[in-house]
Amino acid sequence: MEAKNRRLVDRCYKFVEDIAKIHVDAFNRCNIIPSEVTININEVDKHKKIRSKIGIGYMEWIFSPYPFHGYDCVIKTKSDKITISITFRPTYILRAVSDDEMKLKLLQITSMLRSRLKRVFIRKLKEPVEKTLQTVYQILGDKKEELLSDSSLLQLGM
Amino acid sequence: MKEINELEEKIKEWEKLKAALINRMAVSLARIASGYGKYAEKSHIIPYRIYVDTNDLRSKEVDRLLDNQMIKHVRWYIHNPRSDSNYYLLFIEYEHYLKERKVNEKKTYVPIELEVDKKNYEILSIKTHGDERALVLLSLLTTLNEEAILTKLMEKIRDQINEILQHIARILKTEWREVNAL
Repeated sequence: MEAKNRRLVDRCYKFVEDIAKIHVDAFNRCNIIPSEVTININEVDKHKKIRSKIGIGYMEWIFSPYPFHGYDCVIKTKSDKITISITFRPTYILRAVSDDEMKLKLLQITSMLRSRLKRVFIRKLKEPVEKTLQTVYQILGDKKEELLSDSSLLQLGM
Repeated sequence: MKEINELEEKIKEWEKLKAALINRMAVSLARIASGYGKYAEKSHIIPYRIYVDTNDLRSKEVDRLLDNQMIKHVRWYIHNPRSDSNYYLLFIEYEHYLKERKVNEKKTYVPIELEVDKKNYEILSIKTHGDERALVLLSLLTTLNEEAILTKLMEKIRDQINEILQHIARILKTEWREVNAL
């Protein structure tokens, strides 16, 4: 049982680490990317299949990089909360307010939903970039092509 | 993974657009700064610092753009280049507000250091230290309104010179009358 739980925890760490890499890289290159992404369980478990299996009504995940230290994934229910912190040293820390049983439940759901969570997470990073691009192109109108094709301008050092 | 590739593509597209806009803005600002610098270097009458405001531009396109972004006004400041330096210090100030509450939120400054070769006004380097979103919006505004900003700047310089010349003329006229009365 202990080995099984250890594997579950490791899987969740790996998942948060993957998300952290994507988020930090995107955020460093483009600060239109939101610094905090919240995913509600309704977005990844529409038909309540997973929730009813584990017996949890409401849940959300909050992903956020924190400066110089690393990355946090806070998993919350209405009354409980656990945080998976990834530091860039790298060391994994699991801070939990929940008791062990609840903690395992939250990790179980996270593990089961991890590919859906990743998909929704990436969509939430992509949306603001798409929206801003669209707005800028709309303003530029027919000057867009001229601006982007003027390669000589891109030679300037910044 | 398909989603990651799509995100990567969008970020690359953003990086390219941002670079193109900032570079284009640098060209516009160099033109604006050189228009000012040519006169500022010749005459002490020209103020040390001059600005052009979006209120000066009076364009529907600009108004709509500012309104969409909840920005009250944008002001382009251009500093007189020091004689021993190639630098033009430019900064763009904008004030935005919460539209719903109709209250001023805050003023934000986007400083831009532009190093321009003073002989032929070529850009040597540009350093930007602003919020990315603001910078792109302001690049856009500068790029689209380069001519209008330049025209307004020249108008302001001309008005300043005229004002001083008129002042001198008034003094001379008074003195001339005094001389004639003797």
